[in-house]
Amino acid sequence: MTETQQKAKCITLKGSAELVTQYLLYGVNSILYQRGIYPPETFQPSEHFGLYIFTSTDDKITSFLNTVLGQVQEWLIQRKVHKITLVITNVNTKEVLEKWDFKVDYEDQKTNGINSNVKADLSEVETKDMKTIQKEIREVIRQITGTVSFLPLLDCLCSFDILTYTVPDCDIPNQWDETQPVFIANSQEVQLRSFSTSIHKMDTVVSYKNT
Amino acid sequence: MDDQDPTSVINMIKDLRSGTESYRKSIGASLRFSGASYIRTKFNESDDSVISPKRQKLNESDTSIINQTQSDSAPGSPWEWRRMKGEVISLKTRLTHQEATVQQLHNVRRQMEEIFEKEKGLLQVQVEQDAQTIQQLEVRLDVARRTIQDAREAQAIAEKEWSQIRNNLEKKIASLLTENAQLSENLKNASTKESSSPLQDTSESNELQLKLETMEAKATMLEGRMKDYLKVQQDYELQNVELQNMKIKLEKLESERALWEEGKMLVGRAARANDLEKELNVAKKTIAVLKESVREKLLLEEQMANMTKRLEHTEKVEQQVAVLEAKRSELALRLQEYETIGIIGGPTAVKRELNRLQQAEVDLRAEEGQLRSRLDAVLRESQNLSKNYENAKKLATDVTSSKEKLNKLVSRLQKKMILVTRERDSYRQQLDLYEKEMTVDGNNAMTERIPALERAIDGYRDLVNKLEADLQAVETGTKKNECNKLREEIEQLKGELEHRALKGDFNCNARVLHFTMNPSAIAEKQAEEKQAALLREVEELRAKVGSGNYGATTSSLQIQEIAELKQTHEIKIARLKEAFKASSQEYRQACYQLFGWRVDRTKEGYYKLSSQYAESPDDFLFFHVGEEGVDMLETVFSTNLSSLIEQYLQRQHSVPMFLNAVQSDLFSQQTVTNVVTSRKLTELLSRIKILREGNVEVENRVEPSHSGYPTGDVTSRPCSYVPRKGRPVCPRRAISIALFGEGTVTVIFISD
Repeated sequence: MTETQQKAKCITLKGSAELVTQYLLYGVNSILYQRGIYPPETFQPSEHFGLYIFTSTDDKITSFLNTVLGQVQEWLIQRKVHKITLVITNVNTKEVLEKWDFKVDYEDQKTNGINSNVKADLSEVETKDMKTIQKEIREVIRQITGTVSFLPLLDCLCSFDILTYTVPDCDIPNQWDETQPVFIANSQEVQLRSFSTSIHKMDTVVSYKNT
Repeated sequence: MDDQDPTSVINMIKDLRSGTESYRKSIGASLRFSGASYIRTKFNESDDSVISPKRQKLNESDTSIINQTQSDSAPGSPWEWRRMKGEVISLKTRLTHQEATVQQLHNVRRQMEEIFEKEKGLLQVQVEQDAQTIQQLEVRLDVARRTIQDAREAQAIAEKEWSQIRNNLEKKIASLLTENAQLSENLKNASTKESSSPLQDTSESNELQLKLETMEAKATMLEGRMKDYLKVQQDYELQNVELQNMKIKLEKLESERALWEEGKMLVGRAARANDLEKELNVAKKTIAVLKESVREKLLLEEQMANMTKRLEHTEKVEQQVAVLEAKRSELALRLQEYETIGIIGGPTAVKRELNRLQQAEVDLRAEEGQLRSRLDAVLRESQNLSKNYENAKKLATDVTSSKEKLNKLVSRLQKKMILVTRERDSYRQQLDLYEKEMTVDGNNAMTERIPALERAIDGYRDLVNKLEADLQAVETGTKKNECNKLREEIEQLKGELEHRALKGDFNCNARVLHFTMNPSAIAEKQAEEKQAALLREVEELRAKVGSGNYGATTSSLQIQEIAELKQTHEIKIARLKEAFKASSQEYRQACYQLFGWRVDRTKEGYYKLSSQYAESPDDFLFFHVGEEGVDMLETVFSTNLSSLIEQYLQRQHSVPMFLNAVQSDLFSQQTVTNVVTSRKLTELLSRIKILREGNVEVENRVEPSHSGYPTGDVTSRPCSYVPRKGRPVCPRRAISIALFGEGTVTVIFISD
């Protein structure tokens, strides 16, 4: 195997973070579509990871997701984020109805510093191929789509928020704010599949109000 | 007079100055005259101009002196008077000196002039002599020229003669040559004559021979003459050469003569030149003498200046000498002082003394250094000793303190000893007492009691051991139990934590961040605003209700809702319309396909029917369906169907049957009854190709409305076949084909 091929196949920390953020973007979009939080007319299908995923065309939502996920991508590179949570709340009562946790595990925790990570990745990546990662992501998004079958109907006006659980010494960027974690009383949790880019491991958990 | 006094003095000074200036000028001029030998007239002029102002000035100074003498009678300080007098005297002496020098210079000049005049006269004489010699030489030159001219003339005459002679001779030669030629011709003629008549002319030949001989004699004679002439010519040439030689000789002689003359002149001149040179030398000597005298004078002046300078210098030196003498005396005094002190022998002794002293100093220094080093060593030692001493002191203090403690201890021990001794004494006393008692009770009791007590002690020891073992056992058991319990608890808690983490609890050392302008926050805000607005409205309405006013209270929200409702209804209506249109279209299509009639509703109750099998779109029927029944209206097509109308409408009063009859009639008119299916289309298409190759002309006459299907554009192609009836086969594929005629394909329309 030549070096160029190796480079083509390997995933850098940046690439991994980008992949994870892409997963988050399409995951969140498909949740918003599947859970009917915004009207289906504002969504358009497009192919990603070999799937037709509905993405929102609402400028407010897209800009919000872009800013938040851009920041998250930065934090992923800096290993500052533990978990990203999509919270679906009832607008009128402010009650948390549903919660999607995307837990991030850094698989090469032993090594410190970006440079050493990159080196470590090079050795690991040989086993982890871009296609397999995409396949894993595809599986997870399929599962997300499948959750509609058992999740309770959201029959009230709902909205969503994205919380990021970061390390304590993380700087708070402009227009960001510290907030409280959310809890769902009497909740039911369903763990979905997880995928790994050999740098980041994503666990997806949905918890919903047990009625 | 008093007033004029200072002015007179000033004038005097001025005069003096001007006088000196003029004197200088005059001296400059005189010097110049002495140095140069110029024209006499200039001398005279300058003499007058130079001398005249001087005399005037002298006169003026005399007058001023007179004035002065006059002023002297006036009151004035005797010192001043004396000074003035001295000045006057000095000036007078100067004047006399100057006059003498001037006269001397004049004399010198006169002498010079005389000498120069003499020289001039001599030179003029010499010039005259030279001119005479030149004239003589010119005369000689003229003579020589004349002789040369004569010689030339003679030469020219000789040349002329020679040329004349030569011409004559040449003429003679030419005449002889012609004669010779004539004779030779004659001779030839004679020979020819002789050959023609050799025998006849023997006499003639003799004569001729004689003639020839004479002629030959003549020729020889002429040749001799010729030789003479040549000799003459050679002589002439020789003469010419001689002449030229003579000329050269003449020139040489002339040049010799010129040289001789020049030599003569030079000899004369040389004779004179010696005298002149002598004179010149004398003059030069005098000039040199004069120059030397002038130089000496200048030298003397310079010497004078030098002498004055030297004098000044010597004066200064004298002063210095005096100073130095004073110093010397001082120094001598000092020396004496020194001598009195005891330093005898001059500086060498002093130096020696100094050296000795320096040596001594050096020695002392060295000693000092040694001593210093020793001192340092001693100091160090002393420091060490002091340290040692301090240490020793400390030790001593420690020792003393320990000694004190020991003393105290000793005292305490002594006290204790005293106490112990007392106790001992008391115990002894007691013992004595006991012994006394024992002696009374006996030793049995003691012997029994000790083993009993020992046993009791053993028992107690066992008990203690047992209890300790029990305690240890108990302690270990409880700890293990506790540990296990705690572990279980930990696991439980971990599980709980995991569960809680699943539920959304998070690690406390994390930070939860979110974007402030998130959708839920916005939505919540909007919801809150809406709620607030609603509350406000409720309040307003309540207030209105309270006041009893039931006016137009349609709120903006209601209006909005109504508008929304309206919009949704409109959308619904539009959708329904679309659905209706589609279904009606479908229905119509179905009708058309099933019954073969296209029904168009033109007006209310009026229906236009056109058959599927109609020949043209103009063939249609018109019906009016009213409450009282169905009425058929007349059309162009209906006029052709009078028999059918009569049969079905007028007799049987059945419109459907009439329509069926019309349909069947139209259908029967068609020759081809078989329906072309899509399966046959390919076959047909192949035929079309063949037709096209055979230059088929296609005429487009079928219109989409007539065919009954939206066939789209039909392009026209030249075709010789004219269709009578058309029936589209596959309108969806934009290909319309009509098949008519006697069982064969007649016309085919294909849209591209």
